[in-house]
Amino acid sequence: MRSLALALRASWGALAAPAAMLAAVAYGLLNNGWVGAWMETAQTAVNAFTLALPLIVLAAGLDAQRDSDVSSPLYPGRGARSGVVITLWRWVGITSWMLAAFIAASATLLITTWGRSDPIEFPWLVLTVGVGWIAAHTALGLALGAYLPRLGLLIVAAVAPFLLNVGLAYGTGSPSALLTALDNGVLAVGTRLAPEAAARQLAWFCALTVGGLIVATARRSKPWLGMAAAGVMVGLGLVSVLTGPGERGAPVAEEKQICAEGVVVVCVWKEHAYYLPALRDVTDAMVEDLDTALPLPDRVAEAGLALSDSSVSFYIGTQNAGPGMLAEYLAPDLVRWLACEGTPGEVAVSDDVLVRERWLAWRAVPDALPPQAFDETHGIPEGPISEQVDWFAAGLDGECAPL
Amino acid sequence: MRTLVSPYFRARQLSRALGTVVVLGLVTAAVGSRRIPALPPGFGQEYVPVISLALMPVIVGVTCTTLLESPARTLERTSCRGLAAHRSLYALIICGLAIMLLLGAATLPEEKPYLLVATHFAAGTGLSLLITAWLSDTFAWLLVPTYALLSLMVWQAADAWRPILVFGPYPTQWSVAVCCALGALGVATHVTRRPRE
Repeated sequence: MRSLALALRASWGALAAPAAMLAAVAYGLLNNGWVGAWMETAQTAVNAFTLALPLIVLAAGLDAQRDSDVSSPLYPGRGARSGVVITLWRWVGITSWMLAAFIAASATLLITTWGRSDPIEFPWLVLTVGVGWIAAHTALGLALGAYLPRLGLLIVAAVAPFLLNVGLAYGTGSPSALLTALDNGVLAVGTRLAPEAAARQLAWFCALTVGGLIVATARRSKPWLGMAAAGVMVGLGLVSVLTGPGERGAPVAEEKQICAEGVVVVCVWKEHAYYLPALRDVTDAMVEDLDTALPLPDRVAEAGLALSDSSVSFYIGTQNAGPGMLAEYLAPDLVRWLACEGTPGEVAVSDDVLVRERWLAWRAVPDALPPQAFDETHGIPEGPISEQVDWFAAGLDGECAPL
Repeated sequence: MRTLVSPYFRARQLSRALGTVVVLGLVTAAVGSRRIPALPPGFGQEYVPVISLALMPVIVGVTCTTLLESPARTLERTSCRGLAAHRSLYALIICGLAIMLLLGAATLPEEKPYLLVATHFAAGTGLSLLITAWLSDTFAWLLVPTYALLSLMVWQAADAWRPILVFGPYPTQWSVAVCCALGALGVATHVTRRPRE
């Protein structure tokens, strides 16, 4: 315990970890007031820690360089310990600080979700991969700090880890995106981190951690031998990641939905139950009166739920959608379904189609500007609703391109 | 001239110091040229270049502060003279780079990325100088890049928060004014502060 206490006290993590936690929490809570589903929230916590990567690598690197700074008041009492033990304790110290920050930030974001949404599955795998990712970066920071001069370490730590991770994440769907725990797509409701992808990612992060520690500890004795051993470890980790499929997301084991009866049945994932009342009102307002000219779907369901030909599927693409946003998400998919009368097909984007989507959304949210205010050339009748419905139906004729 | 300047570039390592700043500047220019003539309306596939363009000048600013600040403690402990002349010269060197960047932005007003580079450089340098006035430059490296990244990543923040996120990806009149003020305040603090003990 004394060694751990010493490692914690002697680490730059004491300063870096609170800053990392504050940055991650600010990222999570300020961005549109984040309240997502549980998987999304856990992945957002991991993504938020991308902000902390420069701090993680920098603090670990400075810890590694503390060896030569005997004037520091935090200089550890090393006694006769070997360099390997010192490096390992340094890694334990900085990793403990950063994991504490990660746990605190994740807990804060998950608690904001807890108040509104019950989990389908607790996101253990996402958080575990995040832990492995942070541990790997602390080891890499120690390795960089052991070899680079101070200014080089400062510049590399501030630039490289963040840009590398963000760059890798933008190859979503390719195996190289699994080299980082950051996920550009975020795990939407109804999906979870695939166990096989998580296992490969953890193997890669373990290889990076061990490789980084070998390089850091081999500095004094046999640096080239250490680098060769680390190269083998990292190479094996790379092979394990890059030789498999690139998809991180997989459907959840059990489909849990909750539905409400209205003019049509509206269903959402259980984690999005808090959307249901507003969504039912929006859907009712949209489809009301349309049955005089068009067939109506039996069911409107959130993306990922089981569908039939008479179901409209739509995706809620933000975390705090109000009625206006829900109407905007639903209108394009409803127009496509109505134009294709339930058969698989696509509707090309055109002014005629856009003004009809806007008309549907306006019916659901009358506070929004009426579509006439945007474009007066499409001849929206000013008369009774039946004339407007006929105008709406006539504009969809021939718009469907069968798949 | 070299006698005056070199102590502030890590004591007789002027060429290495200038080389470091020039390389970082070239990286910034290379990243920036990928996004000229205009920043995209959303991040999307352009996320990495935009973030790089916005982040690199901050790093250049903190690096300049570190390079020029590093011998200061020793110098100020041993110097019997006032340091205002040296510090002013240092400020001029720093401001020279910022002024060149601002002139570039002024001559090409439609090229907003240039404005982003200039303002972020000024704010990064100013904040770092303010921090190093009381703490070590390590604190500047721990805090300034993280704050810059936070400003860049929280791009969906409510309007109420935007005024304090000065390193935003899209320069506004407010952010330009704040960044220039931070730069000026940092330089003024550096020039006028008492010698270090």
